[in-house]
Amino acid sequence: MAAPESGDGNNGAARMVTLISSDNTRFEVEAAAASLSQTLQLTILDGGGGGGDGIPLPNVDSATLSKVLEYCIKHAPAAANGGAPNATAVDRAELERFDNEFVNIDQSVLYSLIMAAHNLEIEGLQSLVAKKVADMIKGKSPMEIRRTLGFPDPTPEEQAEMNAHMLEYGWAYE
Amino acid sequence: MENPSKKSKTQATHRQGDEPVAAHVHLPEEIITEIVTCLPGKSVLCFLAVSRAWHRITTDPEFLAAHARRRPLEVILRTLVKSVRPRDDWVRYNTDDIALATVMVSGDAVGPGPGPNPARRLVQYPYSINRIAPASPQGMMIDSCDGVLLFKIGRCTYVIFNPVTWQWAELPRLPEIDTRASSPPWTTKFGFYRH
Repeated sequence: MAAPESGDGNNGAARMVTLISSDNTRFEVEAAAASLSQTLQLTILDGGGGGGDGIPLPNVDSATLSKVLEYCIKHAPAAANGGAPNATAVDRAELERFDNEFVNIDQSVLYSLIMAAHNLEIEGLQSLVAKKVADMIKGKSPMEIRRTLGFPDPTPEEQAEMNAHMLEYGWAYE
Repeated sequence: MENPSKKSKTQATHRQGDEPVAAHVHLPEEIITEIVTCLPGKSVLCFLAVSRAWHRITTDPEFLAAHARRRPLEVILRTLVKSVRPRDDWVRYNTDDIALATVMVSGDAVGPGPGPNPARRLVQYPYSINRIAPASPQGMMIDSCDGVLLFKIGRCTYVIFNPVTWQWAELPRLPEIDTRASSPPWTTKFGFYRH
């Protein structure tokens, strides 16, 4: 299992980049981890983010960004292996355990996370959170779904439409 | 250089202990779509009712196709509920009521509970299906593709059905063709293809 794999591993000695959250917190992170973000990857390939100037992320606050980076750091090694074809079952199970725990968080944090994943184009994180939100919604009535997603209460008109729908598709809510 | 990737650390140089306050995040449409794509068909149906915007998203053909491709494979079970032979003996076919249900192909994906029947009701025909001729199975489901089912419900009548949105659509009728003719053209059945 001791595979040095020194070949094309981006720059050998882990290159670091600095990310700056909307509230001006600086995060120093390995380029390989930050590159899980398609958006950041382009900047980093262009040589950005190193040295004193960081990459500003005006749409992501520090609490969200640290969570995002936690995910990226954990997933970077597997991503570097090209979707982990040679990852062991243990590694995969460990990642899965991490993922499950990772999304076991407050709903509002989940929404900030999925927004950040969307903006930064971190595909794996976005679908991980999407699955979690879907699980929260599964089996709920339209009204409960509205509440879960923080929609305002329905207008009388919308309420009437929802009722009509429930009548028509009542079996779906058994 | 042993495994440098394991050593990486996130350092917040001046952390502010702000809790995110995102009670009413407005999720953009792409994200909503991604979330709904992770849901089973029955839950997608609930989304039709949530709001007009969601109704539009969840009935979009492209969304439905993407959704179907993501869902686990299911086997379709067909049950003949009732078959009635009409009295008029000039009618040569029975009228059948058919129900379709689905079962997950993968054993570990079977829904919660140790219930004896994990089948999920997929469709009950909204109308009786006419048996065309003894040789051709009655009210046949002919094909399925991207979550859409194709049925033959009459000699030249085909309908497609989406069990997620519960939408039926009749395909343009084919010209009447005598299937007992001894020479072509014959039209028996067709399926889906991508082009």
